Amino acid sequence: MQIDLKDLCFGYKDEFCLKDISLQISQGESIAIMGLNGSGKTTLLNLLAGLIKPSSGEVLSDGMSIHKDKKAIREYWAKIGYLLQLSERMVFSSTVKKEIEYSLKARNFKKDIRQDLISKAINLAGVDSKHMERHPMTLSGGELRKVEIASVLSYNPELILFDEPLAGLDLDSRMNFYRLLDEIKGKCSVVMVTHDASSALRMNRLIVLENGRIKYDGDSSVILNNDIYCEIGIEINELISINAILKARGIDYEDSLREVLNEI
Amino acid sequence: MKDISLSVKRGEFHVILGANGSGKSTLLKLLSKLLVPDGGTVETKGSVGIAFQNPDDQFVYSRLIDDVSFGPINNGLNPSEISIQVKEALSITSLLDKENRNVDTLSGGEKERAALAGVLALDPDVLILDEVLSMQDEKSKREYINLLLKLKERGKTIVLVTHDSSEAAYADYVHILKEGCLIYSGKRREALSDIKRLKSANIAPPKTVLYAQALTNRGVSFAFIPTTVEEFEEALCK
Repeated sequence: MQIDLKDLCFGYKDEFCLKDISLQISQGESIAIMGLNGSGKTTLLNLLAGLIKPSSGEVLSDGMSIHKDKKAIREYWAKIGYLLQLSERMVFSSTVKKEIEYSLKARNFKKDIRQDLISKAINLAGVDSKHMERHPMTLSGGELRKVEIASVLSYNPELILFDEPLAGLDLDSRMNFYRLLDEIKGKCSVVMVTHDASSALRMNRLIVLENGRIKYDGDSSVILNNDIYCEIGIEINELISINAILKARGIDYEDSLREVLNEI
Repeated sequence: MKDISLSVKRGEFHVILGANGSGKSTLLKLLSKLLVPDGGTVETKGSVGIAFQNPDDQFVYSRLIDDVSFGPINNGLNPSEISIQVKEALSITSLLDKENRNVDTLSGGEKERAALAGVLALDPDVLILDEVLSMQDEKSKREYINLLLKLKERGKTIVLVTHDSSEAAYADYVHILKEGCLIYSGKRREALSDIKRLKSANIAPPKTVLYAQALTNRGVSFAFIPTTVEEFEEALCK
């Protein structure tokens, strides 16, 4: 599935949250979206998910507007997965199994294939199978996030949207999520909103938003290049300051930085 | 929780570090007496204010100034005192110019400061903060930590609970929780520079510490293990 955003604007009343956004997402691409709080990251995901309609401009899936009619948006929704920010606060069902099955039922998957899809999804997301009959709210935050990830993965979406999937997760859960990213890489497109340089580096492409506009769109490895990273102004990051200190002392830092970002 | 002993003195900044499910929030509830321990005692001197993980959980009014005034009004202060304490709370959290805004229209970082303003308006001696920075960009995080340091200077006692070791970089003392037990309690630098111990508790070590280690492995020498950017420059041998 190829997604095209064409001259997208979105605003509440006359205040624009996003302005003149044009970009293409090819099948299998992985994209990190960064930017300060309030720069429009979540709004962009909501537009990509078709949950809100743009004030002007279009979202095209394989050349066709996703909002053309009811059928178009339903078909689009069947093909995408969206892990909302703090998704574990939005639990629907009374057991972990039902929670994962919910998204399959909603997409009319037959009962005989649902079990197989659930098993695959919990393996991929790292959900412990002994939790299947527990009430989701009795799990820890990290475990519950995995359940929500499994529910998004279960129906093999072609495009997955993650909003801050690592917020509040501990080291093991992070590592588990990175393994998952490696597994799905290339098989579906991934768009991930994050504040975290380590996760962004694991994506191929980086988009930086500033005040609702695209400030940078290119290779994610710029995270390792202090001059560009600084200029993009993603965040006042401790790493930027350290890189600058090292550069001033003439110490080559890129390998060490890569090692740090790969470790956490 | 098992056999937890710790003491926090007036005017100190403590961080309780722990992974998901390590018992951080339980410990925090015990400290703030929202839970009663099965064994042992919790003694506090002075008033306690708590900020929860999600700021939306603690707003009661939609207009910011009404929300911040809610606590002092309910404590029965007289109007002139209320007005002084509310202004003071909004001023220290840099929200004075937003006092008439609807809290829903504030950004994430502003909401977290607004929730803190609501707590500060009660002028508590002790601030207990639960993962109040989990979704902030680095800039807002830094601003919030600076705000905490300012409050500490004014004599407030602060206990911050988090899983993010970088938030502990400016604390006086750090307590590391693992499966309901304290595996370390002590000075901040010792707590944060032990990569092995942090990892054993399923906590990501600070990037600064990992960076110093990666450079050490490549022959760069450090006088000590730096846990903050300021220390990094100081520790880097010429």
